[in-house]
Amino acid sequence: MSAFIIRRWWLIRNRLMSSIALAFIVPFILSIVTVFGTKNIIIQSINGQPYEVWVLPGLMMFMSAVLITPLIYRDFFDLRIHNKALIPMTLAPIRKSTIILGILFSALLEVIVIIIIGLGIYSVIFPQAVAIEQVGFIIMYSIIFALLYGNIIILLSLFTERISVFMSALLTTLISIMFACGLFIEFPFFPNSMSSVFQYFPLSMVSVACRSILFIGSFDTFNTLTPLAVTIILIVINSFLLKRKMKQ
Amino acid sequence: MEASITLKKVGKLVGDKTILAGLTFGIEKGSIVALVGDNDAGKSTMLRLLAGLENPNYGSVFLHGLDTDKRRLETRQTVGYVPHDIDLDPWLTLEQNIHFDALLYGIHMEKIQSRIQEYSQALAVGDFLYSMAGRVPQGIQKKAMIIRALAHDPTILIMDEPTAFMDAESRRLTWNLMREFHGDRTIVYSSQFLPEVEAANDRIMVIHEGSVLLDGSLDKLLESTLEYHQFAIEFEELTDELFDSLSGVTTVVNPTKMGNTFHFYGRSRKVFFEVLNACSGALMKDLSIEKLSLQDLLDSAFAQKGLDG
Repeated sequence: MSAFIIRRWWLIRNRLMSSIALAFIVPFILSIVTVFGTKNIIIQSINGQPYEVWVLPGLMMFMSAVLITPLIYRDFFDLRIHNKALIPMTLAPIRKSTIILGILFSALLEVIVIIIIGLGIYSVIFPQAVAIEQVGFIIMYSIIFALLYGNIIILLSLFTERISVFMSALLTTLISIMFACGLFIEFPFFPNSMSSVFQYFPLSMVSVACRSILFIGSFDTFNTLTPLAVTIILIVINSFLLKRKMKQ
Repeated sequence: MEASITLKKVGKLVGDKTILAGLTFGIEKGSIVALVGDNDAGKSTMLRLLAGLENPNYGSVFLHGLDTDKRRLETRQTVGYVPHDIDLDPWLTLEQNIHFDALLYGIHMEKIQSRIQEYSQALAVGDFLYSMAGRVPQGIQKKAMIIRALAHDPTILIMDEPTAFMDAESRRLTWNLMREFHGDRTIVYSSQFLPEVEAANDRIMVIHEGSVLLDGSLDKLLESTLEYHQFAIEFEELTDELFDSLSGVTTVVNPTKMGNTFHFYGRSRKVFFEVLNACSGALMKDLSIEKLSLQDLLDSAFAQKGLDG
């Protein structure tokens, strides 16, 4: 695992200026474009929270998804279809699940750092929206969200062979999670038949569980553990798929 | 001698096509084995199987007596693999590429550094070690890939066209280093550059359509061809009738026409005079007689028929 973390650090260090710029620009732009307009339409959440307060966990989860996507894409799609660094990794005497976890967790570390910066930027734009005692929960659930979403992108990367297919699937996934996972719009805004389906998406469960602990103060065991269980299942599937894709 | 690599009835299929057909052979520890053959002969597939990059459809590969399928993690520790194409991460430096790979094999930092220094000095890569892989010439990247394969100190080195993209000096340095390993590490490589193969081998395996066509030391392979000579006669004008007439000489083997030059093989110099008789006065400009080389051995139809046609 440490080898993957060292590699991630080297990748950041080798493009340090763009990494730093990205760490500030992405949170700033996402905060501005998603919250300023929407908070004039949805003034407050159904249980009375101001929109900029309610949306914060969803925004951080979406940010984690946006940030982890290129890291996963590069390692599992770009390098794979171009027969680059992924091949020697699979030849090393380590399990495929170690490769999946190594790349995923090292990418997650980079994402966590930017999420923390993002929380800082958000607290400057909306000082009343970030309560310091809630930061830990937001980061924890963003990690769970990124782990699950990262595995979905790994699955997508390993399944597809053409960039056009991958991009179409990726954009569809991103837009779907943006609107259908309760990140920016609450489920009751959808028709009943749809919201009753959307709230059982594993990614939706993470945002529901996070808001439950932040705004109601109760730990939602089912909605926390189910996404984790799905993540573990996806890791097993992805490990198997990687083995198959590499013909090993 | 102890076998380092053993293949037992190993076969590889892609769809309906047989890439490797029931190969059974052993490779002695510490030897240098060259695989040669046409494109698509199955050399790279065989190397990928030996490296563990692909699994055979049937049969077993053993490294130091361990089945690569059942003892995967142990056997991988013993193998270093250099693929034909550049596969370094272009966003990491050469040193970082090598270092990361060695870390995956559980090698300590100090050991990695000392090996990188040692091999980069031997292959003259030092000036490029801290350059981004994507920005250095491919020949240098290939040398870095060799260092990467050596960094975890494998006992078996599998290399697909190890000197591809390299200049003459780099080829020389690479083979100097490989010769230092002779006796300690088993080296199996493929190459289309036959002078390199002639200079560096204990054993040559000629692969054709997934099977081993010829197998032995260079001397042994050429031994039975020593009586053969390659002849070339340049005529003022080599007409189709003349070519047919000369090809009809019973002792002429594998005749070909290149411009006005008639190429053929013959078992003794006597055949030359039989061809001269068949020329019936056609005007000759030049002629040459050469002993056979590995290249001749591989010349398509000639090699496919075996040494004696």
